[in-house]
Amino acid sequence: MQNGEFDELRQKLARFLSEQTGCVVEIGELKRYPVGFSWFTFELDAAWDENGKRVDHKLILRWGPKYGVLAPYFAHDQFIALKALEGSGVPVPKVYWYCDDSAVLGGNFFIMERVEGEAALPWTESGGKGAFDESIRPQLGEQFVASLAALHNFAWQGTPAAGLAGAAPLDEVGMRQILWWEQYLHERQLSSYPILEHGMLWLKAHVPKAPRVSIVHGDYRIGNFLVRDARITAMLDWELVHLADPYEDLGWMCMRTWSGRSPLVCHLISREDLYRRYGELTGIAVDPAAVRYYEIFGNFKLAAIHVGAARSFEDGSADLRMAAMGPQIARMLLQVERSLEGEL
Amino acid sequence: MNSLERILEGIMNSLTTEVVPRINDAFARGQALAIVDLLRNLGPRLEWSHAILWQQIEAQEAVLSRVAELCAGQAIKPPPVAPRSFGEHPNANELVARRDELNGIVSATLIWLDAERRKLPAALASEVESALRRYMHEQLQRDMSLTAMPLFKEISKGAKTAAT
Repeated sequence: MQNGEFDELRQKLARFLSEQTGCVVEIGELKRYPVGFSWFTFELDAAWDENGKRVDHKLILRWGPKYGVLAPYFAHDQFIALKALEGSGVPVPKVYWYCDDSAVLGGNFFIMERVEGEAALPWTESGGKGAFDESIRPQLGEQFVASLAALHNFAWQGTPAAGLAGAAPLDEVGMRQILWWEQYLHERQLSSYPILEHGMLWLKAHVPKAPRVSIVHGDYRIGNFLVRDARITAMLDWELVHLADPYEDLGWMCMRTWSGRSPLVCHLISREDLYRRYGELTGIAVDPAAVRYYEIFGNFKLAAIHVGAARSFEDGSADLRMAAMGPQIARMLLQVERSLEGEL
Repeated sequence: MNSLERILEGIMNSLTTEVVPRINDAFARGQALAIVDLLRNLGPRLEWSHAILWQQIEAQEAVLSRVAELCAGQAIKPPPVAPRSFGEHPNANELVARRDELNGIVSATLIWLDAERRKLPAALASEVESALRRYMHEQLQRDMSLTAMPLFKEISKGAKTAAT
């Protein structure tokens, strides 16, 4: 996105916000964050009148590009999930508006509050040092698990979140996700990947029955939450939110990819403590075999996402990070192979 | 992995539209534009390594040939493999096409084995599976020997330096 396009986006956004608020809205410069490999994230300050007084708002614009790992992008599901979860035990940013008419800003989008905090990355300097200071790590670990448990305990039935994709009976809900990712892979791959076909056959043959159907974040891990003063201030990146087996989040967060060389899940908590605390908070007696199944599925999904990134670049994405994920497909395939062989 | 043509085009496009306009230092802009200039001239002279593509194609043909040999006396047959369609000196695009075609057949053979397994003698099915898995493992090792550690952290942070 070039400088001129930033200005155009800013002007269009000001018009949209003026229509929503019913008054003239002023917007400062848009600042694009380098993090996030899918939706574009822009920071902006906006001001408009509320009860006759000019009020400043610190906002985030999440904007779905035409080409992207998970394109076509729609804001609806993230918006209704985040709206439903406001006031629950899950720390989520307040969402204000969404729009799935790409004519308005050139891509679908939603606008949310800007929450203070820093996002740690799973890739530490040496690969060995933990991502969090030991003085706050245990507290964050507890919050990380408590937030997940609150999400999986959330009674979505009868709320707008019931409109999320994925709901199915307990013995079918897992397979539904496998089929979704199979279709994703086959639509995006530039060449067939035998190890992924092999993995898919295994996944289909071993899918466990879900203990319940929950709202599943889909990318619950280090890197997708903000921390300020030893507190998780917000869980971010809800683009894969759906209804599914809660083990899907547990398996995903336990993947070695998010731990580097740390022995802790997402650099935060031991696997034993995670299982115990999650069980206490949800009433689900954690079955390590089910977690393991969803770790294997997670490795499969991560490989498929890399395949999707390369495809989006081939199709016209101008984002070179997508191309840079292409050569790393091999590393992801190796993770799939190792996880199938029980080496992870 | 993307096509070489698309990668080169994408690098040049990113440098000219995303990077150069945001570099404040004139010398640094000149360096970035020199990369663009070099790539424009390198492009017509580059193609994917024949040696690497041949190594994979030969490994694919070998495993598929082994599977066909193992199943020779059986009533059900694995997916067929068409002969090479290029001449003695194929270009890289022809080799890429052949590699992709054989990737599809290896995948189809895995799916075939899964579907037909019970119609095959158990030992034979195991041997076919072992051959396919061995090929996949060895190919992954070859691919990984060509793959550098990612710079995702530096990319995500917009770092000023990176280990190369």
